[in-house]
Amino acid sequence: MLNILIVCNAGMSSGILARKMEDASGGEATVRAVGVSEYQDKLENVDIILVGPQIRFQLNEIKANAGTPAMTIDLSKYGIMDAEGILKDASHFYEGEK
Amino acid sequence: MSKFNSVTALMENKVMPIANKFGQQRHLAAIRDAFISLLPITLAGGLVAIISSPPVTEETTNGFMLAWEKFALNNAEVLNWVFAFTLGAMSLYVCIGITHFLCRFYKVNSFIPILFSVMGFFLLVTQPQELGFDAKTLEFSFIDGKGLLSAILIGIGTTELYRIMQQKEFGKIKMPPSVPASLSDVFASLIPGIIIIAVYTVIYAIFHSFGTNMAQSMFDFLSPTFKSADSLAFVIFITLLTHVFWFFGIHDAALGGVMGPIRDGNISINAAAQMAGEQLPHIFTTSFWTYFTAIGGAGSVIGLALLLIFLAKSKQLKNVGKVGIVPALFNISEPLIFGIPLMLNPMFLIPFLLTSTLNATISYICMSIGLVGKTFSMLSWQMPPFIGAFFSTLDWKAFVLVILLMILDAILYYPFVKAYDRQLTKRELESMAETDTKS
Repeated sequence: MLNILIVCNAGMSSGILARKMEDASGGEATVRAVGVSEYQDKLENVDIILVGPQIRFQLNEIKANAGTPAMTIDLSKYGIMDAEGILKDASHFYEGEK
Repeated sequence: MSKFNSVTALMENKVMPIANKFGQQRHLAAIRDAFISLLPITLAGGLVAIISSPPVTEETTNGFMLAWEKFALNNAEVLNWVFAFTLGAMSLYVCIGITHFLCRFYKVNSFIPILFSVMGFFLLVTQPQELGFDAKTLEFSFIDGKGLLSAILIGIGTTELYRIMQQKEFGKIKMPPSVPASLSDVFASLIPGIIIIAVYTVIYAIFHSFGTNMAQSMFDFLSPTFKSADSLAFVIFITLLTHVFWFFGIHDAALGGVMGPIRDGNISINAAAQMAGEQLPHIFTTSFWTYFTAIGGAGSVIGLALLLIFLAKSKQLKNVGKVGIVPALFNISEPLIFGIPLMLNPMFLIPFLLTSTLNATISYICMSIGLVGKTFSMLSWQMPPFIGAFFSTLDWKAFVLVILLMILDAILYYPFVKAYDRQLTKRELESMAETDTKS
């Protein structure tokens, strides 16, 4: 079970993605999307943070604040809301970090 | 093309770190987060402002409209009172928010600093009229958007003073270890609290001796700046700047710490004017931005998404249009910006910068000559722009204007979509031919 937190500007555009990813994972992952102003309160049990490409310049700040592995979501996959592809990237990245 | 690449490299290497610094600057970030957290209050205040302003004229005969008008008149006092503590008290909530988010940055518990901030806010932003034993009256008209600058200064000032004293252990009263931690926190903040109160008392006394108060002086001091921020030139400038950011795929959040006070402050002042039945002073508000400028999100992409769905021959573009249209209707354009992509795509640079800028210019002119009503409520960033345009102005002409602007945006995108579609279709056919020959 992988616990994923997506952080984007206000948690709106990534909210759509989060639901798609949860469906695509077939129960293997929980995915939540939050805004950058509130992610610090939602870190409990989070395994990995995915940062929305539009705020990719905040990746290092988020990584440092959260103390959790964090990566930016691929631009074109984000664009077409490729939930499966992003999920694959995320679990791959997570395996690498472990 | 190589020139374009070098501009891109310059942007990524030089401008992005600046945007990054700007976005991470702790005070600006706290202001930005405070304004984002205001949403439920702005929504409630906007609803009250709408309920209070039925769009009736003397010729209105529609039964529902007349009943609405009657309701608004009969309940005017209740509605005004509720409004006064939603949108009408925006500065108070911003002051609390900034204190909270700045404390979080410093990893300081925000509860006690918030108490001091609220106290400083009431001392410096409101004005006593009468302080009798059983009759106390307060003049608090500056707790709406007019007191924002004071609220920001008080929030930041309190937090900075408090955390500096705490970090230096200034005035910390040592408690025996048997005293519970929460209690020793309170004791530790006794002397910092007295110092902060003393600072605010002195500030109040100084302004008072000049026959004014802090909120009034700050407002007078800043109003020329706010006036020039409400000009067509500034609106065009900020629209272009935001879209240059987005062209490089960077969210304009870096601007949020500066734009929030201007846009949200103006909507709060307009709403207060609407409640009082006066002329609306401002054009450039949060609603102006969401519903009339970036129609469908940055890049004004609703028309573009429709073009892709109905005209594109390239499978990729059609697909991106289908994925992107629904979010775009709710002002989310990231799927299209990253999917087409519009970002860093020289072919779309011109329409990407022009559409929103033209939307803003045309809307600004329509509002300043009185053709379309100005905005006085902000319901949600996620409301379809043509609907939001109506509810934020209660003027059906605003709805028509936004529909026309969406068509204009589509026309502007059209030639570029055509050219790009041709390019992609050719590429798709080639790659198909390749796989054919291979098999």
